[in-house]
This record gives sequence, C-alpha cells and structure tokens, in this order.
Amino acid sequence: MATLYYNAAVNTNWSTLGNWWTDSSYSTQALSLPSSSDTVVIDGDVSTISSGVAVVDHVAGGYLISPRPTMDINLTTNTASFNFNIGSSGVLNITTNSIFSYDAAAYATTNYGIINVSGILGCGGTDTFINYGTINGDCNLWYGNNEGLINGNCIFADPTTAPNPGGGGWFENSTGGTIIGNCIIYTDYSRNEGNITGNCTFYDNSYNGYPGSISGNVTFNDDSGNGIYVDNINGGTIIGDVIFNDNSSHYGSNYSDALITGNITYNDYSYRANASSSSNMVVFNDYSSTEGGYFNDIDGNNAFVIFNDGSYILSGSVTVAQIMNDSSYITYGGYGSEVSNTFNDNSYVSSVVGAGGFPAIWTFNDNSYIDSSSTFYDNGGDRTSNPTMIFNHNSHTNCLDLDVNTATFNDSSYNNGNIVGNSVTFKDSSYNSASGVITGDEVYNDRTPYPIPRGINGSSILGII
Amino acid sequence: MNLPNPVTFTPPSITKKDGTVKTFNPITLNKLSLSIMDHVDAKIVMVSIRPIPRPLVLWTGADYDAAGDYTQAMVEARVLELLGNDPSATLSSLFNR
Repeated sequence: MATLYYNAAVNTNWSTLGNWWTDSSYSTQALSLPSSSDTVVIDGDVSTISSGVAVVDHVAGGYLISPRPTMDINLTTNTASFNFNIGSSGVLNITTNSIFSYDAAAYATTNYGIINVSGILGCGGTDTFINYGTINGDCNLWYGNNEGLINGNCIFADPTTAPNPGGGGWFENSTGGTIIGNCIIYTDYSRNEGNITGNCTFYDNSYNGYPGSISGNVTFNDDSGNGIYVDNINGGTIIGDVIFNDNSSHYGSNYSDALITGNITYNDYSYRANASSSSNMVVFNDYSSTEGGYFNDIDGNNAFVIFNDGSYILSGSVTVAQIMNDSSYITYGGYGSEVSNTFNDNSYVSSVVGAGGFPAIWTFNDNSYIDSSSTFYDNGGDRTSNPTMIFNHNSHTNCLDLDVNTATFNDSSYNNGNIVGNSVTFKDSSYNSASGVITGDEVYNDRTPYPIPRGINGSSILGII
Repeated sequence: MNLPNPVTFTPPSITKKDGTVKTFNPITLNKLSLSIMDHVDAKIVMVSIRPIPRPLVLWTGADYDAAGDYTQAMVEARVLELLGNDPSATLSSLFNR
C-alpha cells in the first residue's frame, strides 16, 4: 500500500502514468497506476479515466470534468478532505463519510455533476461549498449553498459537528435548490429559500424565507421563524403542521407570503405578524400573540383560532371562529373575529379602540369581560351590522362605548358600561348596574331589574317586557 | 431602539388548566423592537415591545396633548424614562395579567 500523488503533469487522463508521483513535491515518477489499496492525493483536473475505476483517499484540488469520468472515493475516516470541483458530467461515488472544502482553497468547491454518498457527506468544512448538481445521500451542510438537488436528509451548520467550530458556519438552500428529505437547520444565517419536501426543525436565528417552500411539518425554536419579524424578512410557504416555540416568529407582508396551510401551534412567546394561514386549527398558548395578517379557512369546514393561557391578539381581525380561554385577551388594535368570538375562563377585551367591525356573534362566558378602556365600532345604518352580544354566567362589560345590534345578558352577567343597540335584554339574575347606560330598547325578562332599573339613555324608565 | 445596557428578565410561569406549571427561560434584550399605537380619540400613545405581552403607555390625557407631534427620539426617551432604574422589573411587570 502506497501513497501516490496526481498533478495532471502530462494531461488530464487518470490513466496516464506520467501524471503520477510517489512524493508530494512531484519529483519521483510512480512506477504504476494506483490500485484500490493505495492512498491517492489528487491535485489536478481529471477529465478521463480510461482504464478501470479509480479509488481515491484524499483529494487536494482539481476538477473532475467531462467526458463523464466516474471516481470512487473510499475513505477510512471522515477527516479526509476534498477541495475538488465536480464538473457537469462528473460522477463521484463516496462510500464512507467525507468532507468537501475542509481546507481553505483559493476557490469555492462546487459540484455540477453527481455525487453518490453512502456515508454522510460534509459540505463546506472551512470554505464555501456550492452544489449546482445532484447529491444522492445524507449531508452535513456547514458552509455554502445548495442551488441544485439533494436527495437525502440534511443538517445545516450543526455547531456540534462542524470541523471549524466558531467559524460562523451557515448554509442556504437557495431559490431553485431542492432538498428531498428532512432538515435540521442551525445558526443565525442559515435559511431555506428553495424547496424542502420533508420535515424541518429550525434553531437559533435561522429561517424559512420567501419564496421558500416546505412540504412537511416544521418546528421553529429559539429566534428562528417562518420569516423574521425584527429583520423584516418575509416568510415562505409551509404545507404541513407547524409549531412555533420560544421567541420564534411568523412574519409576512399580509398577502401571499408567509402562508401556512397546515395546523399551527404558537407556544411560549412566539408571535405572528402580518402573516397568513389557511388552516383548520390555529392555537396560541402561553404568551404567544398575533398582529395583523389573515386567518383563513382552508376548506370552509369550521376552522378555529383558539387562544389559551395568556396569549393575545395585538391587532387585526380573524376570518374564522375565534375562542379565547384562560385569561387570553384582545388588546390594542384587535377587531375580533368576523364570524364568532367566544370568551371563556377570565378571558377579556382590554384597551381596544374600535373592535367589532363585523356583524359577528360575541359570547362571553364564565368571568370573561370587556374592560372600561375599550370601544366598539358602530357600523352605522340600522345597527344590524353591529355585533350580537351574549353574556353568560358572571361575564360582564365595562365597555366605554359598546355598539351592538342586540345584547343579551343571562345568568348573573351584568352591564357596567355604555351600550348602544337595537335591544338589550336581561334574563335570569343578570342586571344593568347603577353605572350602566343603555341607549336603545331595554328589555327585562324573567325578573325584576336590579339594583336600579335603567331605561333608555340611563333614565329611570323601565324597559319593555 | 438600542438599550444602554442589556436587560435580562424571566417571564412569569403559567399555570395551565390541568394544573401543570410552565416556566420560561430568561430573555435578554440588547435592543427594543417598538410598535407605536396612537389612539387619537382616546388620547393615548402606547408602544408594544416584543416579546412582552402588555403595551407600555407613554402618554395619556394632558400628557398626550403636551407630547403633540412627538418624534421617534421623544418616544425612545420616554421609554427609557419609564423603564427607570430597574428596566428588568418594569418589563417583567408587563407580563402580569
């Protein structure tokens, strides 16, 4: 077993003996072509392999070029390096783990051909690797771009395996790049702007950016996102189900970008801003939030947006049914759902100016409420375009200006604010409080008003029974 | 807006309906991402600071009138004023329900 060195001194034919040497300074001519048991160092272009198939253990530089040479790489460790470009007709078969661009080179290592990997291919060890061709196999992508096709699972810039930790590794699946497989994506500048068919997990500040598309399920952690709010980067399209954790973001410019069509769960203090979804179910938990954008129903089959814990709506409207639970709330510029709004478990409307711009049903249960710093829109006309309000249990309104079509108070619910509407009805033990003001018909059913009967415009005229 | 010093705080834990308690990792902010909301009729200016759920109220009523056509520099100065000597505590309080 010997080590032989190739430098293309005569021509670019692998099978020309004059191209081979027994030392790295190319001073002693080799006596025979390398066998499969030899270690081979390539530092020159290879355009032809006219006798047999080469087995290579180390590639220092050069170009595997047409007409369609095939080179087999048979490495014993994954520390061997390749600074070697694969031409458009080149085929490189790698049978063990290996790394491209491990050593700094004067030029980026590129693949225009086909690389078949049966181990794990490391790309962009310390220098840029760009794939324009096809890679068949799993890859650790530390530094560079994919603008071609990768048939395999990929890890982008994994800091735990990178050969140059702290080297600022990142990898981009660029527009036009396709990965048929699952991906795990790390570090601040790593991103997908191409197509990924499998499932993805994002970490750090990595992102799926417009016009990137992911067909599988996706989880965003840390400060990653489908688009990045603080950097004004719009998100791409995701077909599968998506989970946002930590401080991850879902950000777009309101219309076609940042579209998610699977079910979405926002956890922790993740957030959604000016983004779109066409999902059957969107759930906000913890301190997660939404502002602007569009919630659409993918198939017209009773889609829901559910807010739990302390999650909230900062602004915008929801075009599907909306359920607020567990002290979740609408604040700031939130309009509510255009279909129906249900408030449970101490959920509330607070500090909203101009909610309810749609003739939707608003149902307040449990101890949910509208606070005194909120106002609702009057949609004009005969008020039938205003919301229909239903208050149950101990729910109540302190709303500064609540414009409704009708409002119905049941159980022990009560009005402590100002209501303007076509009719306001009190049932069971519900009541209009001493400070409650109602403009419109006031109706009491089933009981005597308490504590003080309030009439039209707060007069003492009893309502119509 | 940039902060003179990084601010670290931990969002309060959340007790779920099933009784489980969810805790959160500390958050460190080197700058504040502000969204300004001006309710003209209500005379109130608030800023939302990601990822904090409750807005910080800058000016209301007579202070709103006095602020007039405020500038970004005025907003940032007011935010720093409200954050006070203990920005961590102020920002943490905006997580309270």
